[in-house]
Amino acid sequence: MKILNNLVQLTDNDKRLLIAIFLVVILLFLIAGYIFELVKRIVTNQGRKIDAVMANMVNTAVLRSPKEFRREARRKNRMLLFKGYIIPFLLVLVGLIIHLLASTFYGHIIDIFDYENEGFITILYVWDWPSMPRSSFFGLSLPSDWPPVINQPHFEASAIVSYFIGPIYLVGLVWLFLSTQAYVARIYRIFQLNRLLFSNDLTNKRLADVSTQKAGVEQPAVGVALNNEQTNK
Amino acid sequence: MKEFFKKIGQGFLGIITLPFFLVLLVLGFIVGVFVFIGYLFVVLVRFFRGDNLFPMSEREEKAGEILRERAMNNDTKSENVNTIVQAAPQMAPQIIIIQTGTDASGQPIFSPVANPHYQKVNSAPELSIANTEVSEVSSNENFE
Repeated sequence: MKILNNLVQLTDNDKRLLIAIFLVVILLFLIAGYIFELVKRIVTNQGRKIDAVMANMVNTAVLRSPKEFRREARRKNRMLLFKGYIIPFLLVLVGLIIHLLASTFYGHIIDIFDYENEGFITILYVWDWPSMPRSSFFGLSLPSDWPPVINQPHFEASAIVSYFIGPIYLVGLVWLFLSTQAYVARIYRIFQLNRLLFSNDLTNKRLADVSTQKAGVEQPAVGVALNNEQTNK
Repeated sequence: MKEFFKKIGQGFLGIITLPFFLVLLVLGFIVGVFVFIGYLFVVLVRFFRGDNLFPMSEREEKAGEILRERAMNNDTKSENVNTIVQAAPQMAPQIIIIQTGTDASGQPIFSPVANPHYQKVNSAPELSIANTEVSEVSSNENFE
């Protein structure tokens, strides 16, 4: 009832604001839709890797049961996971070693998230999100403006180590994230293939229909005979 | 328009399923790290033994053998086809000379110049239809 009362009392400005919010929400959903589509495609492609490594065994009919297929596919998946993890793992390890060595030299653990002196964040913008300006809209507290900037990008000599290890960590972690996504995608694909390859479902099976082919050969002869009969008459 | 609404629906779905997806990824990461560490030990042992780091399973080897056999069979088949093609006799061009008459001494004329029906090598004979009546004959016609 309260919302209804509020809607009745809407001014023109409120209506404009409401339409703007609606459009922003639609735009957000649209962008999310495209991102969702992209992620779906990436995950599907990552999952197809298991098809490539299992193709030989499936084509030669070496695998006779779903259990055998699962076992082999999981073994291959573990192998692919190892190959996918090894480089990002080494990157993160190298980053950690540099971090620890530098920390011993500095006398304390370097905080790479520090935006004032020694962190990687010193070269990035930092916003004070908790003190974001908010305003009340139909009883809801919504953000009304950007938060104040508490750090402008600036160079700090004491943060040089962070400038090195920050990107190393970042690349390693993104790589790990993608490898993990690929691992999960392949697990899902194994389940999918396990169901498809050993299924007795005949829904998509089509038998060759030869009856039409036979009729196709005879039809012209009949046509010629009819024409001849007509001309003879 | 349909695509537009579909995209918006997908976006809505994506936002709803995002937390589940992230949980799945975190779980996958935890499992993956354990699997990776376990596999790392296995690989290190194989490395120091001097074995193959990623050995093939029995089934994989079997599949490989079958594929090799298939490839060999295909090769021998294609070789056989090549030898048959090579062994096939080359068709020599034939010269057809039609004798049409005799010269003054009564000997047959074989000179290409003198013989109007002489055909050049590899040239198709020309067909000409003189005023002849052509009647249609069908396969079903009764000739009785």
